[in-house]
Amino acid sequence: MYTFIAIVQKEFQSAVRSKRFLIFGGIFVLLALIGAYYGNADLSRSISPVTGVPDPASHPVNYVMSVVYSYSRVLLSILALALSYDALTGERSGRTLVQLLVRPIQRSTIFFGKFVAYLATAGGLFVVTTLLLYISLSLTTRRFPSSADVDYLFLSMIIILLYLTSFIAIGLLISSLTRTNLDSMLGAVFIWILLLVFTYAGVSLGLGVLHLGATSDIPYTEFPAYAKILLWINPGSHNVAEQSLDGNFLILSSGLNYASNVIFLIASIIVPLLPAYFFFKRSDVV
Amino acid sequence: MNVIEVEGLTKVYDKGHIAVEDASFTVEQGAAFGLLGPIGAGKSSVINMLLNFTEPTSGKIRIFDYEIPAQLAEAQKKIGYLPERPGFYNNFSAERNLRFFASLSGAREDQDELIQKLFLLAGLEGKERIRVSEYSLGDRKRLGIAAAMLNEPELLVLDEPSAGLDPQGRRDIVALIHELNVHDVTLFLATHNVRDIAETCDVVATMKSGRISVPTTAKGFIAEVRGRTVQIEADIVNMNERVLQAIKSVRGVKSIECERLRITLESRPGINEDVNYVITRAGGRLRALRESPSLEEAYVRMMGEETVE
Repeated sequence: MYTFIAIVQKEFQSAVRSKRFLIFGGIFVLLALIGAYYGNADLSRSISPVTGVPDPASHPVNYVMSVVYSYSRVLLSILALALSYDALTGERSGRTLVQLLVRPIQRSTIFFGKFVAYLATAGGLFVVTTLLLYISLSLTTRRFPSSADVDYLFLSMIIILLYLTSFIAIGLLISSLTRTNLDSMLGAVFIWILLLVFTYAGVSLGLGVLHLGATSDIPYTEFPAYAKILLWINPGSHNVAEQSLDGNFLILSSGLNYASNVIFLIASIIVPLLPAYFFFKRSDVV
Repeated sequence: MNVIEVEGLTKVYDKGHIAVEDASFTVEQGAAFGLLGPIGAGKSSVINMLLNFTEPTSGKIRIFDYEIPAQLAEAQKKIGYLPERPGFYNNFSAERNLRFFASLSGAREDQDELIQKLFLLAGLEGKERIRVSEYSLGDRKRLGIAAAMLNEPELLVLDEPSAGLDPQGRRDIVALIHELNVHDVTLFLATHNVRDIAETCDVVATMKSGRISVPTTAKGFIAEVRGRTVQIEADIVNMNERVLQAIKSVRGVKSIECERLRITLESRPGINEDVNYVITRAGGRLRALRESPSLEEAYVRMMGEETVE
C-alpha cells in the first residue's frame, strides 16, 4: 500500500504540473464558465424528452449544469486521453520503467497507481469546477436548489466521472499497445476521432433508415441494431449525466434505459482497462 | 557463496535472432565480475534476464539462492542496478527523484540521512535541488549510482557504466564503482571497455555473438590481452646518456631504439611508473608517453584474431 500511494502521489504531482493539464484543464474551466454564464440564456426553451435535460423552471441550477456538461464534456475526454495516452510509453522512452521495475514493486501497483492518479487529477478538476460553479450559480441567480437537486447533481457527477474514467482506460490501453510516445499520441487522436465518427455514423445510419433528417429528438429506439451499436461504442454517447441531473430515470436515453446506460459506461471502463493491464504485464521492459 | 548462478541461459528473440546462447557462469560474493564484449554481443540481454526485464527462452537463474523469476521480489531487495543511460523524471529535482525511488523500496526511518549520504558518495552534494533535466550525462550516471544504492544492495549490476563519459568522468565513475566493491558490494559489470575491466574487476568472462567464455581472473586476462611485451614511445626533455642508462636499468626493459626513443619492455604491472621514476631521477623529464599497443588496441586485435579462428 505504501508503494501504491507513492506512485499515485508522484503521478498526481507530475500530471498537475504538466503543460497538457494546464492547457486542456484551463480550456475545460473556461468552457464550463462560458456554459454556466452565457450558455443558458434561453431558460424557457423546450426540454428534450430524449436527453432528459432538466426543466429550467423546476430545476434551474441543475438545468444550467446540464448546459455546462454539454459544453465541457468533450474537453474532459480530451483531458483524460491527454493525461493517460503515454502513461507507459513515457516511462519506457524515458527509461524510468527500468528504474521502477528493478525494485520490489508489482506491475499492477504501477498500472493502477497511474490510473488512480489520472482519475484524481482530471476528476478532481471536474469535481471542484462543478461544485464551485453550482454554488456560485445558486448564489448569483438566488435560485437555491432543493436537497433532491443536490443529490441529482452528485449522481450526475458520478456518471461524468465514469465517462472520464473510460477515457483514461482507453488512454492506458493505447499506451500499453504502443512503443513510442508519437505512436501513442497518434493512437489517442485516432481513437478519439474514431469514437466521434462512430457516433455520427450511428446517428446518420439510424436516421437514414427511418428517412428522417437531423432532429433534436432522435428516435434512437427505432434505429436498426448496427446503428445502435455504432452509437453505443462511444462512452460519450450514453447521455445519462443530464438525465441524472433531472432525476428522471424512466426515459430512454440513446435508446437504452438508465441502468443499461450505466452498465454500458462501466463496461466501457473495464473493456479497455483489463487488456491494457494484461498487455503491460506481459510486455518486455526494454 | 555464489551470489549469481546462471545455467544454460538462452534468449532467442521473435525473429530467430539468438542474443544469448547457453550461457553458464557464477559470481561469488564480494567479487567484481566483468562481462566484456563488443556492442551487440548480448551483454545487456544477460542483464535483462537477470533482472527479469525480459523472459529467458531457456535456462535457470538464481540470485542470492532465489529462483528468478519466481522469487524475484526477494532478490530485488538486495539488488541495485545502473542502466547504461539511467532514466529519471526530468521535471523533478534529483532529490525528489531519489525520494520517490526510495519510497518504492519500502519506508525507512533514516531515509533523509541515507539520501544525503548517497549524494555525498556520488559526489553530487550541492546539486540535490537541481532538476535532473539540467544534469550532465556524468552527473546522471552518478545519480544513477546513488539511485542504485538506495536499498543498500549487496549486488550491484552495472551496464556500460563508463559509456558516453569524458576521460575524467569515466575515471570518477570507475573510482566510485571500485570503492563500492571495496565495501563488500558484489559487482556484475557489463562493458565493451577493456579498461573498465582492468580497473575494477577481479573476474572476467568475454562475450561474443551471444556466447560467454569461461570466466578467468582479470589480471590473467589483461596479461593475455597485452601479450608479453609492449612498446612505449617516450618524449623526454633533457635526454642524455645518463637518462638512457637509467631506463636500461629498469627491470623488464628489453631494448631501446634511440632515434625515436621507442622502448620495448615486458608487460608487468607498474613498469610505466618505474620508467618515469628513473627518468626523473636521472634529471630527465617525461613529456609524453604513448603505449603501443594500448590495452584497447590489444583487445580489439585479440577479438579480431578470435573471429578469424
